[in-house]
Amino acid sequence: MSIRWKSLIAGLGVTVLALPGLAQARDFTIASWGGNYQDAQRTVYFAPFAKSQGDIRILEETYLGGLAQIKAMVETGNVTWDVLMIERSDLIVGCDEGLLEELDWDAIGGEDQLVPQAVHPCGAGNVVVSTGFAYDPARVKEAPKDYADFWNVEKWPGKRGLRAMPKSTLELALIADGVPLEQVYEVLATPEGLDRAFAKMDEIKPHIQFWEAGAQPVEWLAAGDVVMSTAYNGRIALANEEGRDLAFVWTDHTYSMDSWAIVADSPNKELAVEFIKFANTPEPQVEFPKHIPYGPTNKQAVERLDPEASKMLPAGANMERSLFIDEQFWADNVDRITERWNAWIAQ
Amino acid sequence: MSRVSLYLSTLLLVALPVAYVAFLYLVPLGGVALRSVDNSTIHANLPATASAIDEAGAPSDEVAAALAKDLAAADRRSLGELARLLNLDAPGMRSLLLKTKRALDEVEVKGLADLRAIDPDWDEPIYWQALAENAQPYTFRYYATAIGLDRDPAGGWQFGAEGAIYLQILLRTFWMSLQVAVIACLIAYPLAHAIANGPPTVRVLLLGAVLLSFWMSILVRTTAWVVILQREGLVNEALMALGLVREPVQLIFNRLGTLLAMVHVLLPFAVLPLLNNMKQIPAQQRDAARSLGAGPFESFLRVYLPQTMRGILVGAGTVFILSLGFYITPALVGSPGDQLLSYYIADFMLKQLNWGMASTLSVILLACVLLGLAVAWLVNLLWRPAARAA
Amino acid sequence: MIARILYVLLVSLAVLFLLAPILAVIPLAFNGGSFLSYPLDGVSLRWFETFLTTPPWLMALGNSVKVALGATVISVVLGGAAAVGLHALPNAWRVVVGGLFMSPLVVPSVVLSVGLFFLFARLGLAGHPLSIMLAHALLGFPLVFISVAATLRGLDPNLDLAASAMGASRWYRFWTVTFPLTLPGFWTGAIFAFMTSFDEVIIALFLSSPESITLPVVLFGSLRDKLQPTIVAVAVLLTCTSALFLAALGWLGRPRQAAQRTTETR
Repeated sequence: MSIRWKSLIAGLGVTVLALPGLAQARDFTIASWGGNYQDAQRTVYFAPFAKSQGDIRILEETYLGGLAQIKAMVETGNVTWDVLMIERSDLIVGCDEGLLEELDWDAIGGEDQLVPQAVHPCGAGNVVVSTGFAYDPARVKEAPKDYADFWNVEKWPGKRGLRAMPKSTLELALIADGVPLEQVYEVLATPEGLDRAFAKMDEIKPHIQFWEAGAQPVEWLAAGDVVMSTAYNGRIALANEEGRDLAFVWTDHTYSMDSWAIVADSPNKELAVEFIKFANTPEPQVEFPKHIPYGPTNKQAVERLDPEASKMLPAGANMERSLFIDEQFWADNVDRITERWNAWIAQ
Repeated sequence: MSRVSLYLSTLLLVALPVAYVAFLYLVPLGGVALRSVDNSTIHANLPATASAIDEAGAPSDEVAAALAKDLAAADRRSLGELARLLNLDAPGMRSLLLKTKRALDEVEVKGLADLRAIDPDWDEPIYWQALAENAQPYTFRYYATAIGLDRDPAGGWQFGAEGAIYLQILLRTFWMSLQVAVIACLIAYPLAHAIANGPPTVRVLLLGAVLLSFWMSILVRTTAWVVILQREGLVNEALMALGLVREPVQLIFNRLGTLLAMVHVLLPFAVLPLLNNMKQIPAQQRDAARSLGAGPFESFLRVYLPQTMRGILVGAGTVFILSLGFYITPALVGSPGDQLLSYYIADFMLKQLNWGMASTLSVILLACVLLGLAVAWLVNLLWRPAARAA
Repeated sequence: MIARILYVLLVSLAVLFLLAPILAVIPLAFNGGSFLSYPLDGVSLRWFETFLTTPPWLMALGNSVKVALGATVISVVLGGAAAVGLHALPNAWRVVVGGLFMSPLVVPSVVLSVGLFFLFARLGLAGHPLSIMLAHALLGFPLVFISVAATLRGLDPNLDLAASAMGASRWYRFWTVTFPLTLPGFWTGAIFAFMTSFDEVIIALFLSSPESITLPVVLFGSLRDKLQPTIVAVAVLLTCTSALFLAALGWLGRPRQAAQRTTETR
């Protein structure tokens, strides 16, 4: 019998055995985004932390984004997660609505060791995720350099991949239209600015193919479905490690942060605080980008990065022309702008 | 056993499923209807403000003090939710309220001027109007948004600059459902005819294929379409091999792909009623028409087709009504411009946490489905005697 | 002659449309390479292996089986009670109450899910597998109801009369005469209910939490993310399940009748 068959049968056996035992007593539980991302976190954060605490058991969960689940947990008093990695938009709303614990920054190593954007009352920014645009150099005659080129459908004919949401997309329209980075949100906040952004979007509307999941732009670029597409830097770097040859444009990229946060009323709050304290230190943060290409938030870690490796990271020189997504702006305006966005798409 | 106790025991039997349906089906649907007009979060958390403010939302010292009192009393959790809901009416109000709440620890608010000192945005009438509007436990704001109405600066209603976006999406839902119903019937018709009249082997095989497709997971069938329609998929490879196109064409993430996949998923619902209908038509009838000199097309059009009208209507009606609520297939195969109303409900519900809007669109969709059912029922009622008379 | 050719052509095209997508996709599950395109890069079972050795897929499979079994049991009890109860009641009752029982099948699943989400959140059952089970039973029990009702209608009323004449009590008659004769209807309904729950996506998508996530929800998520052969392998396994149950229905002897009276909402 070949190994393959054995593992098939073993797999079936595991399924049957796993059925009753899914719900366990409460060990320290961390929820993150699954996939390669969580694999890297396991190696760099979870395993060393478990060891440092005397070989405690850490349970892992997969979090799919949004606040609905956390809200259900907190409101029913059945808090099954302690720490989770949360997107900045959800961090802000979750904090306002009391779904996340407020952090005592002195207990987790102080604000000063992190870059200022990483500091939030309820969360410690841990991973810098950047969205720039990518293209396949083999399929273009001349390399596009910035968002003005992205909008130039005459020189670079073909479809453009953009994320199917107004946040982080309308900003690009304004940048392409010549608005300086530091004024983007100021302009977007005015009715005229919003009109301007949508007018710019109109220019390339027939050429847009919208993506919803981070894997799509990579596939579309590789298949030649789109000539350029916005994409997460990590997805492109990983695709290149797997043998693709895609170029990523860092000019005017937008970035945000995933943060560690503690679910309100967590029964393991002390461990959770210890964990975040550990996650804020430079040592694991330098290690993390070696497993998956996202940037660190600890100031020392940023300096200690290997310059060659950091070419594909949102760090160092790549941050010179970049826009930090203003989640406060979006929390205040998302409903109004989304309505207009939906109307624009439906037209 | 007496008749009465027989009746009682059967009623008891029926009571069990009735109770289940009442509790897990009628109650939640009623809950959705209530949620679509519910405004109690705001009403319950700002009681002093609600009683102090007048209908027009004129700011005054009294209202300002009441608001400060309410805000000071609100806990973090309910205030956050409140701020998010008010932000729907007045963009920016979320930050404004949270900022004001934080400032209350240090400042005592006695009147309007104190609030304005915390944030000059309290000068804007829009925020006071939002408070006034939400002083009531019920609201029609979500319905107004659904039909494209906005608040005008004077506090009345006006048609928004964006137009009636959700009405447009509703129209798109109807239009695409109609297209799906017509295409499904066109494809189902020869298929059902072959099953009804073909040789036994063909009959068994075709019926087996239809039933297998019927019971196959919707995701599996949609997966199949995603895979064969993709840029390097089978359809494109076939088209290029045949020399029909030089470059792969875009077949997925557009209207055509969405309609094709929806038709495929719903095809059995068109085949089965047609089949039922066709099996009742005696084969001799067509032979009789032919022997009277009618050609194959003529005998089909004048004798066969009219007798299958009922099957066509039932099939098309079923497909149409089921299409109205479609979510999975367009979400996987369509572009943002091909999504039906259900997509927006799911989006409001799961992503944007705007449960009022999700409920309102749900009520509208449900009303459309019920309307469709009522029309189907009427047609059914009227069609029967007509068919007999013919 | 032209009419004949045209007819055969139309039927063939319809059959091609119905079957080609499914048939074209199945071999890709056995692809040795990691792309979803032809020609195949050798034949292998590696994607099935991936499925059966990846914990998240396995957990989802376990949840799906658990939820579907629970939903089936509830559906059979409710659907059986509904059919047997309504059978003895006057026709007007059957139309109105029967119509109510069938209606969850046409109400859009998204709307139902929104309502159930609020209800279960209030009950503190949000994200619990039990909530999905209870919701799926709402779609499963009408299917049991119609298939049992159909077999009840097909019964010879004289059998019951004969037993009654011999002095058997109503309950005794039901369990010894009526129930054994309607058993195929119960089995058919149970299979319908199981399949419906096992394949259901939308309600599970709204109600599940990571702990109670079901196989179709994971499949839906992966389809939106990245096309991998594992997805097709899962699809093939699901198709085999469908075919198996369809065969079971055929074996129960009345697949056509049952299927024609059945509608299922997506």
